[in-house]
Amino acid sequence: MNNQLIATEKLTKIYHGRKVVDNISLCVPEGKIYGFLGPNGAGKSTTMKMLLGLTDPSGGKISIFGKEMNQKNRISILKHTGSLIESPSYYGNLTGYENLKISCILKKLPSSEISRVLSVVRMEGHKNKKASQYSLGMKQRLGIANALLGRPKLLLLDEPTNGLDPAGIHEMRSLIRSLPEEYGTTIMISSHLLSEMEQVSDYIGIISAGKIIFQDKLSKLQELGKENIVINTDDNIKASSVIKENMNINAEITNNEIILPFMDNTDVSKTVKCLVNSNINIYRVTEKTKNLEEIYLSMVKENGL
Amino acid sequence: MIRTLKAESLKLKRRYVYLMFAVSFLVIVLWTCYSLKDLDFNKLSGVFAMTNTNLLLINTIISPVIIAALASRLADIELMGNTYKWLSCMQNTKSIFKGKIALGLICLFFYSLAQSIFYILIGIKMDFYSATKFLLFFISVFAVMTALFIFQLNFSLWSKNQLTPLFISIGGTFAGLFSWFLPQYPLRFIIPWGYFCVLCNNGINYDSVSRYTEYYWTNYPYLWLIVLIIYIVLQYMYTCREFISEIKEI
Repeated sequence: MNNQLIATEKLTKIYHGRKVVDNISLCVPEGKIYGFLGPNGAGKSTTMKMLLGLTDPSGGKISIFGKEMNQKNRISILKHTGSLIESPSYYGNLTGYENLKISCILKKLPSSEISRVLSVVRMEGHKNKKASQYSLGMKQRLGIANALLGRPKLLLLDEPTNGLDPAGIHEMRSLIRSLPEEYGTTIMISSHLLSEMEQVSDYIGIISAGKIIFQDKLSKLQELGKENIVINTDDNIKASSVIKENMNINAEITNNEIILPFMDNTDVSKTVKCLVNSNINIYRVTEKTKNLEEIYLSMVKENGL
Repeated sequence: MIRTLKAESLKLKRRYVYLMFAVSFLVIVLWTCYSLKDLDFNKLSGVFAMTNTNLLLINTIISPVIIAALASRLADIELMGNTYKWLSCMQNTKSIFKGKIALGLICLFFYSLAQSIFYILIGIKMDFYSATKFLLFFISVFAVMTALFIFQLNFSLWSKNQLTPLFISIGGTFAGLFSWFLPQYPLRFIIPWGYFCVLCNNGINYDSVSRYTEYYWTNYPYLWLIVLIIYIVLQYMYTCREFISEIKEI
């Protein structure tokens, strides 16, 4: 991976004798969207809390912006970081504007930032309404606006689409996608929904039972799904023996299909030529792939969750 | 610290904390004026001492609940809005705690100061002026309120239901009030609510025949003031430590 904005080394968290996060080494590349995927209780939120220094790791190291994070430099590192962890935080007695003002005061930011972030999340019209009167979706957007104050270099979003309606989810997705392009923001976003991660992430990290079981580009994960080559012919039995003789590949016949292990384009072409030369009519050659959900579920299942 | 205080003060907007103190002060003023209404200051010698006792007694009744409400207001805004993890990303945990303590103490400082100024005005009306007595009155009120505030904040910071610390303060108020009338028991010395009475440097002689009560001045109980200050420091350290460790596991 290229320049890493977040790097952890053997990060571990033990709660009441149980390893909730187990020796994970995350690499979040700069300027990209890193989807942190895992089932409920896999350790996503705990990991993100450790990255923000909200809970102390039981072991391991965290580096953000190339600096090893500790209690002394935590706040100065987090100055360039925006976050939304679990449910949104807000003061119900204050308006949306006043809630953001609190962050501006504490982060030493000008009040002009408030109008900017409110327009980014399209909440200008609700800024003078008390936060207690907001819907869950609006609270979530207020949380995102809060995270965007000061144009942070890094955004940590824990399940940001929780509680949003489909239109809100779509809006949030476009917003998240636009941030790296417009501001060069690096985003780490966690979710238990693969479909959501698939649509926004450049990189994927899958955590299960506290362990990282996959971490790479989304395209690499998609490649894992390529499983078989399926051929339909007018004589599958003959075709199967021709393939065995010429290609030395054991073919399996099921449901009037010949199933071959995954092979590259050259081998597919050679196989087709053999069959054509043996006067076998080929109706269809297809690539059977697992969808991402199946890959994800099999990975998680293998890891025991 | 200024920024923390500014933020803390903004958080209390529309929570009517300052109004609560203003109303409470008004009640103290009206109550005291009513008790002085029919007295002839020229004929009576211990009126100023009586006023000192009365003010401390009224504080025993009113202030603990006001202080509990202040602590509760400062704490429940964070609990209701789930804001500790948000704040912890912008400031050190200790500074969140210090901000709450500082704002609370500023409120109590002005509340005590307003009472002291009122006390001075009564003194002027009676042609009595003693800077030491005014100062000691201010110190007594402010010290006891500080002790009660930190004690209440310790409960309020972690109570999901803010009625619990409020009930504790009501119970404490009764205990504090009883301690004025049970001098033979050490109750007043072991509970913070009793210290309005402990730090009262007045004595009473009651003549049952003439039904006349004479108030007089005694030596100020500096020793008990020191005990209270030590308690405040210890309670502060304990509450701060608990706050920091608890917030880590939110």
